[in-house]
Parts: sequence; structure tokens; C-alpha cells
Amino acid sequence: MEQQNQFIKALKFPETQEFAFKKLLADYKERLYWHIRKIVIEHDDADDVLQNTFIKVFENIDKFKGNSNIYTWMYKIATNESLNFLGKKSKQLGISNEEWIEKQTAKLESDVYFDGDEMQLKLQKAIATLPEKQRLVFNMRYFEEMKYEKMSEILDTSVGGLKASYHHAVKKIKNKINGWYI
Amino acid sequence: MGGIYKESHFRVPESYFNDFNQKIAQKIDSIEPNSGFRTPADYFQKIENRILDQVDYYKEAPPFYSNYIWKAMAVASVVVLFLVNEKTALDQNELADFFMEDYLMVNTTYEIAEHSDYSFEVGNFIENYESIAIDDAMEIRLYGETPTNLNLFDDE
Repeated sequence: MEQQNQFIKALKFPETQEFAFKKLLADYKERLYWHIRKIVIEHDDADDVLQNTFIKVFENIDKFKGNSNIYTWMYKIATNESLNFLGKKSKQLGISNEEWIEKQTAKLESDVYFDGDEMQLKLQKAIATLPEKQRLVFNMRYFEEMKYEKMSEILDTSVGGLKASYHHAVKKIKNKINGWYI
Repeated sequence: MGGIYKESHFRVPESYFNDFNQKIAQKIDSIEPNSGFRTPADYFQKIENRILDQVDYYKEAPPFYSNYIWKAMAVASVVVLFLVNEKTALDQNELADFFMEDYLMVNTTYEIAEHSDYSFEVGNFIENYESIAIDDAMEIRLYGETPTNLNLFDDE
């Protein structure tokens, strides 16, 4: 924690700000990108959201009090930015966030930045049918193998609630995939 | 047939095989295991510079400094408002004295006695003389005149 506090100070102090921000970017860009990408699906959208996330982190670093891990805080910003992005896009088309995601996932087969095999494609299509919260929880638990305690801080949801969401998500995905193969 | 040298005429870009290993490594790095999603090659190298280009370290005031400026400005505003209010209050008291003096000078004892229920308070005098702007009254006083001398109440 002491080390983190020193790093936060470095991010706020003009003489060390540039160096510290470069380090932050180097350390977290990939992890945040993959988190965002699984929410917004398309690479170009994830690229926009990732940039906005880091700019927001930079602009708001003075508001970060250091009560939580900086990675958790950044994850929270990335999640909010991604959901706001989905909200804007779906509003433009007059559809729900879930419908927007299903549309994006349907395009994955022809997406040059999707290399998944048939099973991975089916998995993504099944994930796309989940309600937003369950989709978030499933991605964070299944792909990122994040602990429930950390997820709880990011999503402001109880550990029990998250476990229930994950359980429901897995069940729905299994049913969906089984249904496609029978 | 076995000894004939067969040239295919196919060509590869210059240094293609030298760069091949690096390209494959980048491609592997750009794929996230299990999800099937991938990024353009070099994406993570390039994105860093693109984000850094959008951040201006020197225009962005350091947080402590910017907070300090806002706080200092807030304190300064309060002090200025206090001084302005105090100055206005002083002006009003000064004018009230001036108007009372004028009132006592112009009115006879009999007239003043008739107004015995009149309360000689600052607020009342200011109210009675409110038809004269404070700045004008101050100017009148500066030139040694009084509202009555100048017949400013002729309409009443």
C-alpha cells in the first residue's frame, strides 16, 4: 500500500507525472483493453474506450484517494466507460444494450480481429444473450479469472450477488450451447 | 527430371524471413487465450503513444496547485465581498449623518418638534433620501452642498 501511495504521489506531482503515467500505461493497457474488448466486442470500439479510460484516469487522478487499489479504480472507470459507450451506441439506434451486443456478436464471423474457432464463436454468441450484469460477471470470472472480492469492489455488488449472477450465467450459456447442438 | 533445377518465380518481400519470427511473436501476443479476440499487430506498442499524445502534462495544473488556486480565489472573493459590504455600510452611515445634519440645519426647531415621532435612525434617513443615488449624494457632499440647498426635494 505504501508503494502504491508513493506511485499515486508521483502521478500527481508535475516533475514525476509523465514518467509515472507512462508506467501506468505500460503496466495496465493490455489488461484493461481485454476487459473493455469483451464488453464492447469490436476492436475499434475497444480502442476508443481504452483511450477515453486512460485520459479519464489522468484527468481524475487527484480525486483518487488511495483507499482502494489503483488497478481496481481504473477497472471501474474502464467498466463505466464501456457501459456508457454501449448506452450511447444503442440509444443512437433506438435499441437496448443487449440488442446492440447481439448485433455486434453476429458480425464476429467476418471480423478480421476475431480468430476464434466454432466453439469460441458459439460461446461469444451465448454470452451475448445474457443480461448486462451477468455478461460482465461471466467475462470477469471466466476469462479474467478475477476473484469475487475484487469484482465486488469494481461492480459495487455483494460477493453473494456476484456468485448468483455467475451461476445463472453459466447455466444459461450451457443451455444455449446445448440447444444449438441438439 | 530429378536433376532439373526448378525455379518457381515466386518472390517474397525483402527481409521477409528475418522479420517472420517477430511477426509471429507479435501475432501470438495479440491473441487473448480462450476468447478468440485479437488486436492488430503492434497495437499495444502504438496505443501507448496515441494516448500519451493526448495527455498534456504541462497544461494540466498539478492537483494540489489547482485546488490551492480555487481555494485562494474563494477566500479572496469572500474577503472582497466583505470589504465591499463594509464599505457600503460605512457609506450609508456617513450619508445618514450627512442627511441628518441637512435635516437639522434646514428645519426649524418647531418643524423638528412636529416630527417628534420621527425616528432618527440610519434606515429611516436612507429611506427618505433614497431618491438620491448614493454616488450623487457623496458628490454633493464633496462639493460642500446639501440636498436641500440644491432643491433636490422640490418635487415632494
